[in-house]
Amino acid sequence: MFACFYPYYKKDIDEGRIGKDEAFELICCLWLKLYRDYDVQQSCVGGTNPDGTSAVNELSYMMLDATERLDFIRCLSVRFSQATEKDFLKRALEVVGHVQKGIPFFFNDDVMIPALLSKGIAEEDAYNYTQLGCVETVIPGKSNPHAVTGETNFLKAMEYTLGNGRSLAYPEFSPGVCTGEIELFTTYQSFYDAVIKQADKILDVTCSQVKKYCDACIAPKAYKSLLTEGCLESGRDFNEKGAIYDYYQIMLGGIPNLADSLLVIKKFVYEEKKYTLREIKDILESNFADESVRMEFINKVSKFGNDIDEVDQIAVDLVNHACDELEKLEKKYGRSFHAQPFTFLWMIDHGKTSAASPDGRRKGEPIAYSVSPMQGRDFNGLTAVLNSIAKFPTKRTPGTTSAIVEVDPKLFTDRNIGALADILIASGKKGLSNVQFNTVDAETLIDAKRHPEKYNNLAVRVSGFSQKFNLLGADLQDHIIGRTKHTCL
Amino acid sequence: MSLTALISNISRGSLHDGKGIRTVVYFKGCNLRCRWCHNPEALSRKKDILYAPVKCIGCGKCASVCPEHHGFNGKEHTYFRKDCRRCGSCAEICPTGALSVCGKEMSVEEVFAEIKKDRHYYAASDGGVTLSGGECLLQADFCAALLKKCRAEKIHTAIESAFFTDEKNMEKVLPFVDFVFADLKIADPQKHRRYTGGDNKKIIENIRIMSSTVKEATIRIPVIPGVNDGEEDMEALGKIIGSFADGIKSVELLKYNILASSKYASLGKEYCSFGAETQSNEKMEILKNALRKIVKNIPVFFERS
Repeated sequence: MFACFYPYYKKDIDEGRIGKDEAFELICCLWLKLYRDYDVQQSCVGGTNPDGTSAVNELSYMMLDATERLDFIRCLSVRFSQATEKDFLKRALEVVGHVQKGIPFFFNDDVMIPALLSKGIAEEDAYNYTQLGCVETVIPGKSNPHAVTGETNFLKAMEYTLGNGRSLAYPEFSPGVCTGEIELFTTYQSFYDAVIKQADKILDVTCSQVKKYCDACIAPKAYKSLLTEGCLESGRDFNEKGAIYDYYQIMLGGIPNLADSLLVIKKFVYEEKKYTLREIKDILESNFADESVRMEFINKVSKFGNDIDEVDQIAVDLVNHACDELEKLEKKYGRSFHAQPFTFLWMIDHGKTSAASPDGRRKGEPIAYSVSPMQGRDFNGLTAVLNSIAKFPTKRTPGTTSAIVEVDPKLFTDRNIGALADILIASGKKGLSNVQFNTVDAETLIDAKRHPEKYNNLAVRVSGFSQKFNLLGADLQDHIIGRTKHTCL
Repeated sequence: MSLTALISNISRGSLHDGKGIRTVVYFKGCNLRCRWCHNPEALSRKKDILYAPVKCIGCGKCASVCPEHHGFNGKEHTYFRKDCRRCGSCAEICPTGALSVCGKEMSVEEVFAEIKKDRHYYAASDGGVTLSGGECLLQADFCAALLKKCRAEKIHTAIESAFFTDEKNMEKVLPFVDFVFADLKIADPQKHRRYTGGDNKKIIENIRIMSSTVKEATIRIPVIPGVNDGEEDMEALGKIIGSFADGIKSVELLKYNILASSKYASLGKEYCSFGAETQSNEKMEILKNALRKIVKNIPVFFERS
C-alpha cells in the first residue's frame, strides 16, 4: 500500500501541496475507514524490489507510526528480507510491543517470492505480492487465490489409519482408505505409508471439492471482475478462472499434531514395544481414561517446536509430501494448487471433530494453530521454536507457512528490540515464512495458574532475571498476576 | 574416551549473560555455598531429583518402581529423600515430569551440537555461548575442549565464574575465553566465609590474575539485603575492584533474586530468604553511586525494573 501511495505523497510533498502532518492524518483516516470489527482489510508495508534492494520508504514508517498512534487492531503486515533495514524491523517490532495486539505481523520475501516464482507467477508480479485477510497470498489486481476454501485436517489421517478407513470420532462413517487391519503394520514404515495414503486421499477429496465448488461458479463477482486483470480480456468472471492468476490455496492443518502422534507411535509401538497399535487405539477410543497414560504420551516423547530434528523432520516430511502430491493433483484436476500450511480459525472446529490423538490431545481439544507447535508443547525458548518452524520447505508453500509465536510482553520492551530484530533476521535467513508475535496479558496468566499444562512456554521477567511461570510457587504467581493486572486502565 | 561433564541445564536465547543472543550452559557442581544461591540445583556435583508437587497427578507409578522412597496416602504423594541414592528410576517412569532428574552427563560433542543450533542467531546479534553454573571452572578440561571447538567455529565465548578455584583451572580455560563475568560478593574475609563457605582471598587473587590476561571482563556483584547492600559494602568492594588490572571493563550490580524459593522446595532443601522484595531502582542507584565514588574509571550499571 505504501508503494502505491508513495509517488503521490512524494510529488505533493515536493510541490508543497501537503505537509507531513497532513499526510499522517490522511493515513490515520484511511486506517479508520478500513477498520472493521472483524479486521481483515489488510495493508502491507516494507518489501523488496526486483533488484534485491529494500523497498522501504518514508511512508512505510509513517504507516507504522499511524498504527501505533491509533492503537486499535489494524491488520498490518510487514514484508521483510535480508535486504531490509534493521532500523525498519526494529520500528515494526517496537509497534508490536507497544500496541500488544500481535500487529504488525511478518512475511519473509526471501522464501515467499521464490515460492511464487516456482508456481509460474511472473517475476514483477511475484515481487509485488501482498496478503489478503489473514495470510492469503495474492498478486494485487491480478489474482484469485480462492482463499480459505480448500481446508484439510491431516490429523484425521491418523484416525483413518487406526480405523482402517473408519473415523474414530464418528465410527458410523468410513471416509478414509481401507489400509488394512492395524495388526498388519509390522514395521513403522508400513504404518507411516498407510498414514500417507490416508493423507493423500484427504488432499484429493479437498482438491476435487474446491474444483467442483469453483466450477459451479455459484458466487459470480461482477464488480470484482471489473477490477481484476484478465477477467474483461477473457470474458470470464473472477470466480470462473477469469483472473490472470487463478490458483487454489490448499490449507494443510494438523501437521504438528500428526508429526507428534507419529513419533509417539514410532517410539512406543515399534522401538520400545511398550504398547501395541491395538492398545493405542483402545486408549484413544477411551479418550485417555487413564490420565497418566496421556501424560506419558505427552512428556516421554519429543514434541514439534523444540528444535529436535527427530520430530521436526516428520513434520517437514509431511509438508514436503503434501507439496509433491499437490503437484500430481494439479495435473489430475488441471488447476494450480498452492500449499498453505495454515488453519485459519478451524483448529477449533477440526479439534472438535477429531478423536483423541497419540500426541496426548484429548477428544475435542483444538489442534495446533497452523504450523505453530501444539499449545503448551514447546518449552525450549523462542530461538528453538523459530528454528523448528523455519525447517519447513517454505519455498514450496506460496500460500504461506504460518505461525503464531507467544512472547511475553516483557520481552517486547524497547531495550530488547534490537535482539528481537536480530532473531527475526536470523530466522528469516533460515527459512521462516510468516510469523506473528502474540504478547500475553494478565488474564492469560490467571488462566495459566489454573491450567499450568497449557502454558509450558510462558516466562515472566521480574527484574534482572526471568523464570518460567509454571516453575514459580503459587505465592509468586499471585504476586506477578497482581502486578500485571494494572496494565488495563 | 571422550570428555564428559555434568550439565544441569542448557538455556537458549538468553539476552542477559553477555553480548547479543546467547546459549548458556549451566555446569553442575559448585564449591561455594552462598546462602542466597538462586541456582541451588547446580550446587551438588551429583545428579539431583527434583520434585514439583503441582505436576503430580497421584498415579503411583513412582512407588511401583521405588516403594522405599515414594509413599501414597490415596492420591497424595510423599517423596522420602532420606537415603535416596538418586538413581532416577522414579523420574524415568513419572509420566508428568513432577519427578525429574537435574544433571545430565554430556560429551563435548553433545553440548556443542546444542550450541550450534542457534549459531545463526549469534551471527545476527554478535552473540555466542556462555558457560555458567554451578562453577564451570571445576570442570575445566571439558570447558577448555568445548570453548576451543567454539572458537574454531568462530562462536564468541564467555564464562561466568566465582573464581574460587585452583589457578591451574583458570590457565586451562582462559585462553579460549573472549569475555568473563567474575562474581565478587563480600569484601570482608570473615563475613565472606560466613555467607559463602569460602575464602575470598583466593577469589580476589584469581580475579586479579584473570584481569591481566583477558581482554574483557565484567565484575558482577549480587546485592543481598542485609548482607552487602550498604554504601560501605560497595566502597569496600570498590577498593578491591580498583586493584584489578585493565581487563575489567565494567561492574554490574545484580538485584536480589526472589524467585529461588520454589527451586529449593523442589530439591527438598531449606530456603534462606533475605526478604520478599527485591531492591528498588532508587536503592540500586544509591549503591551504584557509592561504588562509582571509588571505581572512577570503570562504568557501573544495573538492570532497571
